[in-house]
Amino acid sequence: MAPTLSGLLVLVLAGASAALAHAADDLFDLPLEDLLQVEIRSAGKRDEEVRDIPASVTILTRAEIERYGWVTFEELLSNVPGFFLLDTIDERLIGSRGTVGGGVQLLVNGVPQHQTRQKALTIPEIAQMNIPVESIDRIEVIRGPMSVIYGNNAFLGVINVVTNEIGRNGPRFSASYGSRDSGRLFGRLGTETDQGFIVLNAGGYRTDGLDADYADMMGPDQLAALVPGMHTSLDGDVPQRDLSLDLSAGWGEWTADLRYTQKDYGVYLFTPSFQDGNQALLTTWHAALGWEHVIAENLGVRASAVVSEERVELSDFDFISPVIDGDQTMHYRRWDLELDLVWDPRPNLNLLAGYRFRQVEDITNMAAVPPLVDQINRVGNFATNDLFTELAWTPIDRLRLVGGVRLSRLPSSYSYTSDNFLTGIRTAEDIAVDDRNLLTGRVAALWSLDSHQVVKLIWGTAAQDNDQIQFPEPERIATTELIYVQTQPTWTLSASLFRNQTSNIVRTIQRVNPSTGDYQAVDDNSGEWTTNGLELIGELRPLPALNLSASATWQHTEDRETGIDPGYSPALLVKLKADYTHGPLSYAAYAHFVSGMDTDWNFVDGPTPGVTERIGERVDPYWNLGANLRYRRPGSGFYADLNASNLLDSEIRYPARELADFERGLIGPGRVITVTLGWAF
Amino acid sequence: MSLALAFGPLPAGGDDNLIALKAAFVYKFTRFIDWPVAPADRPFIIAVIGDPAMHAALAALEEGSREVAGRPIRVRGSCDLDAADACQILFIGAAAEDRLADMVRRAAGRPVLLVGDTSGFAGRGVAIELFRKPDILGKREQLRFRIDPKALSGRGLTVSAQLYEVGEVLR
Repeated sequence: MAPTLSGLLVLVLAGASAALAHAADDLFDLPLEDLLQVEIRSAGKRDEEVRDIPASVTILTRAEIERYGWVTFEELLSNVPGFFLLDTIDERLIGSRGTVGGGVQLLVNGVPQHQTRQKALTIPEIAQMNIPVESIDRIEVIRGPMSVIYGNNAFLGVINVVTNEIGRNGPRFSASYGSRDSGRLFGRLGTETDQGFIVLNAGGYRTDGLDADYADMMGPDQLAALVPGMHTSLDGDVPQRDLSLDLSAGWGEWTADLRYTQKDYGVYLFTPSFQDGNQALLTTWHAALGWEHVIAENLGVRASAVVSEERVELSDFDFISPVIDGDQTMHYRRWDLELDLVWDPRPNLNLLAGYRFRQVEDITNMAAVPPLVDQINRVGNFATNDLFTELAWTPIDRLRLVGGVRLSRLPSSYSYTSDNFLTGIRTAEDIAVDDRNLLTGRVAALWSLDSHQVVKLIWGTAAQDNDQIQFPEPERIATTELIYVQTQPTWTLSASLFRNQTSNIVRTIQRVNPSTGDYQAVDDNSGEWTTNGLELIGELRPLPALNLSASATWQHTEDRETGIDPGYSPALLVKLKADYTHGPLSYAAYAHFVSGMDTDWNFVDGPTPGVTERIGERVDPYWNLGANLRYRRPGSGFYADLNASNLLDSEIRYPARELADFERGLIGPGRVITVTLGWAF
Repeated sequence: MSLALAFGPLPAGGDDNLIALKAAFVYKFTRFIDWPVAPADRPFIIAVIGDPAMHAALAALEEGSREVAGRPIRVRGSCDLDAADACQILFIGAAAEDRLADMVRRAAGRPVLLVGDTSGFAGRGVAIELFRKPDILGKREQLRFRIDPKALSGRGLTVSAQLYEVGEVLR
């Protein structure tokens, strides 16, 4: 006779019952006063909290990450609803809601990581994705402008990666090997006591990277321009070696975080290489100290300090001609000091008020490619001061109103110097900031239809720094969003209608050259885009061991000034996931779909206004299907994963970008099989 | 010295420990509520619907010498509405929400304490709702309960004023 569902449930719980009964037995004899004092260490956001956040939110847990077996952080992000990844070899840009690159503020254990754009530098954003998936306990993804709380650059959303929940996910070690000579090593050590915790995560990753032939990616003109001696494919030119060390500790009211990452990888610069390819070394480190104190039941303070450095070194340039050689180094350091006050003057009124001081210093960009370039550009130290506050009011049980504002006091000017050692010319200028008071705000109304359903109406603005020194004003975004969320014990549904209006976008336009009368392509920061979209996310758990989820994001973005569709703005993203656990085995399948997209565009110099051309062809839509089989030996810590990404070996093309400017698109990774063996204590 | 210092916080991995804590609260309510007098040999029955883990945690009460007003404790897990007919405490889990209205109706006017841990159950007929309350900074949480006086009245239950002082009272 086949077992019934309730019978199966009893079997599953039988082993857990003894532990539960034992735990309960220890507590039954305590007086109620003592039970009221027992702390529950929160392991993550609960449904009620997620419903209360005035934004669209996705939570990924360790258990889910293990079932799906994603090998890299980039692959994990590719499967988050509403996100897509654009691979340009030197970069992995996060795309969301019609735009790509910049704009997502990454936090690790709540510590803000480097912003994605820095004045006068082009440090790749890929540096912030050097996070071993094995170290991740939980990820919280908040979509929508969050500058009021997190400041500039929380433009399209915030990703908080939690890697220090040692009490929930203990020490573990693993090793992986896969296609393209890829491999991972990971180790976690740590402990938790009544008073605190300490966790060390150490991970390394390597791969030989992409290997497509240039003949399959370049256009006829590009192929015709190749010179003898150039490599004919990417194979061997773009390997990747990652190292990540992450130490997190807490003691009483104090926390400390140290994080070091290093990425040594090959990049493509305009033309194929002749020798070993162009190598880039990205290093970052962060040190953070936090303190929090509950002054009274309704009053608390938090203080934090962060210092960090980011450096990129491009060496042994290998492009255009075999005689070309050179290197480039970019570097900066930043300091953050923040003080927050949290006060509940009434049970239905919550106030957050804070101040942040940020200083960015030692911004340096050195390039030497003799005899073409020998130059050092520097930006003088500058500071921003931010005051922010947010008030949440619950006038009646069903209604929660949230309003917040942030005033960022920008520097009066950016001091820029450029020393050209070839010409002996030194250029120095102060670029004044016309409007130093940058305001961002957010208002939201959250209406609970019942204990399972909430409707959120949100309007918010955010700002994002650009990396061009001549445009001191940051890019701006205003978002209006209507969200409906229903959470039931076995399923959830979220639907979001959103409209983004983005302005001050840096791009290329045409202007009349007074001396020639012709139209001339120039950089400009008056771009204005409008994005309208719909996002649906559903999760279903029909059986305790079966999880299904699906999401779809439609969007359309238009350039309000030119009417030309922006590049890298896929109209449809679809994510599918399914996993089933039976005994020691978990079976998981996942897929993401990215619709076709155009490349960036440029206006063309000449007598006719509005003449444009794309820098490459439109790329086709693609599905990327993955699967993971996980075995966990009962009664021991041993586990094994067999993971396949791009299982169907679909051709994935990423549209041309500035450096990897393949007219027909960069061909991404094919099928990658990875085997992982590990032990969790 | 707070209990958190004496015993330490519940481990973060402790979904089990949270359930155990909830079970301890349920048991502790019996010290602040009087049920109509019954023969000492008649068991005091705690029934659990829609939460097998809570049933497992409360089942530990059957061992040892714990009792309520001199009556031995029996814990029953059930998937049907009959549980509401013959118990003194009925714990209703989230999975039984679709049957909440039926259970409230069947327990009306009877000396049954309805307890739950699902947001919104208090106000829908459940007398005591357990919930997690974060501290002002949102880092640490403690278990609290809210009481719905309407759901307690007319049942022949006598509730100590102490319980009202410690819990939140639903207005």
